[in-house]
Amino acid sequence: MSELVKLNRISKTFYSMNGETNVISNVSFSIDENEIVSIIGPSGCGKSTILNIISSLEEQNEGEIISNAKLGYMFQKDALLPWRNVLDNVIFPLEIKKIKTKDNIKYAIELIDKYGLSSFKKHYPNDLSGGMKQRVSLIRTLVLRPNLLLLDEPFSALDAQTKLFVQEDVFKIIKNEKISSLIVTHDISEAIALSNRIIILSKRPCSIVKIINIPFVNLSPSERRKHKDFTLLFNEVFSNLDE
Amino acid sequence: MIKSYKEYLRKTKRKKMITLFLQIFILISFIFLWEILTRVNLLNPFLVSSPLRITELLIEMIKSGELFPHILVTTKEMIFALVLSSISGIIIASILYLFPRVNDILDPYLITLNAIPKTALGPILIIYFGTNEKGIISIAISFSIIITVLSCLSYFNNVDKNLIKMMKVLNANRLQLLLKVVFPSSFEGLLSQLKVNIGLSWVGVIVGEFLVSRKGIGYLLMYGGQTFKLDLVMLGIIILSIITLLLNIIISLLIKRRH
Repeated sequence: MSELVKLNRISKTFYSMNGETNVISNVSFSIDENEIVSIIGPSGCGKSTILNIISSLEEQNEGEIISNAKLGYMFQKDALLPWRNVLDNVIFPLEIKKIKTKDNIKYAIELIDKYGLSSFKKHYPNDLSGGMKQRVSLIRTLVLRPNLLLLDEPFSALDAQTKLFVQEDVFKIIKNEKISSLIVTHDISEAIALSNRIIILSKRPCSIVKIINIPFVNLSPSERRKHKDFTLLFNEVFSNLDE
Repeated sequence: MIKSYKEYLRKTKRKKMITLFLQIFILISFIFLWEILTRVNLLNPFLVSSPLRITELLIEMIKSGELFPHILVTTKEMIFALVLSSISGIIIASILYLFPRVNDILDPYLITLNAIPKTALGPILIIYFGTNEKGIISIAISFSIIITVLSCLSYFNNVDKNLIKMMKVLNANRLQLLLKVVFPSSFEGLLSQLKVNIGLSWVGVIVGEFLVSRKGIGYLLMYGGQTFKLDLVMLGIIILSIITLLLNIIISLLIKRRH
């Protein structure tokens, strides 16, 4: 399998009038095609900064990134525009990128139909449930046909029950569209339920403590939760997290 | 279920009716009390006028045809000032939003300009623009333009950070950010600023008419005050209140239509 993105000895320091904060120190990993990788670590350790560096919202101080990826980005909150209906939200990236062609709009509508939102095209985000909004948000990123999806704590704004449904939902869509994903989370069971690999980060400045491979990658999130080794993995991740 | 819903509707309607009734009741009893107290000379009708005297004056001025030109002039000046200051305020705020560096540099100047008592600028503006409608409109604009710029900027800068990050990820430029996200997000804020500007433009126009003193309701107020015709002053104030009420209703309807 070929590598989509490769981070090589990345370090990042933030400067402010109060001094400097070293947030990332010497982090290297790569993501392959069709792979879901989770980054887990204590809160405020700089997990999101890694996503920001990959998506070039921020620049690393040291190290290099080799990327063949076309990126999509999914946020903690749905980040939908409340004054646009579902369809207009989904085609919004096409408008910004100035590629609102007939073919692309057709593709957007296909995606909406494929993922069960066809009867909600004219609905506004405020009429939708939290889980539904996240689905629209995901479809909006798919419109640009990414091959690597960056997810920044995408389920943390949802209540416990909805979270499970949406995780299942997002997992299915990601697998179906055959895109790789990098998920930042602080939820251990979420990381195990969704990913092929879990990268455990230390406290700030974060570096990689351990990478754990998940053995049952062919199972869905709900099946994984029922698997006998789930608790075992949970404990292994937990024991490597320092708080 | 249906019965209790009907009950709910009935109660809500009743509550609204009572509110409206009390609002009208307060107005009528105020007018009534005003008339009675001046009739029995508990209040001096020379100083506070009276509803009847105001009505008589109103009818007389309508008949002689001298009232409407004054109302028309003032309303026209006010609407010009409102539109010009709101539009140019939003345009200036947009430019400052597009160039944050310029905004940083100009910030102390904007704040100082806003803190100047606008009446102080009146005499200068009249010298520059003339003792005419142009002068009055420019005074009224000076009352609201800076505060429009400042509050628009604060609405612009309070847009949901998530939406801004979403735009950055899409590599959107700042103009796209402004047009596609910031403007629609701040729409409600801009409308409420428009309401504030109605009030400020009134003040500006009246102050302008005080200074220029040729025509308009501000002139009537000034003239009435100087010649101790307090009936005229009261009439002017009442006309101003009614026009303000009407404008506010129009703006509220505009806001409602959007929802």
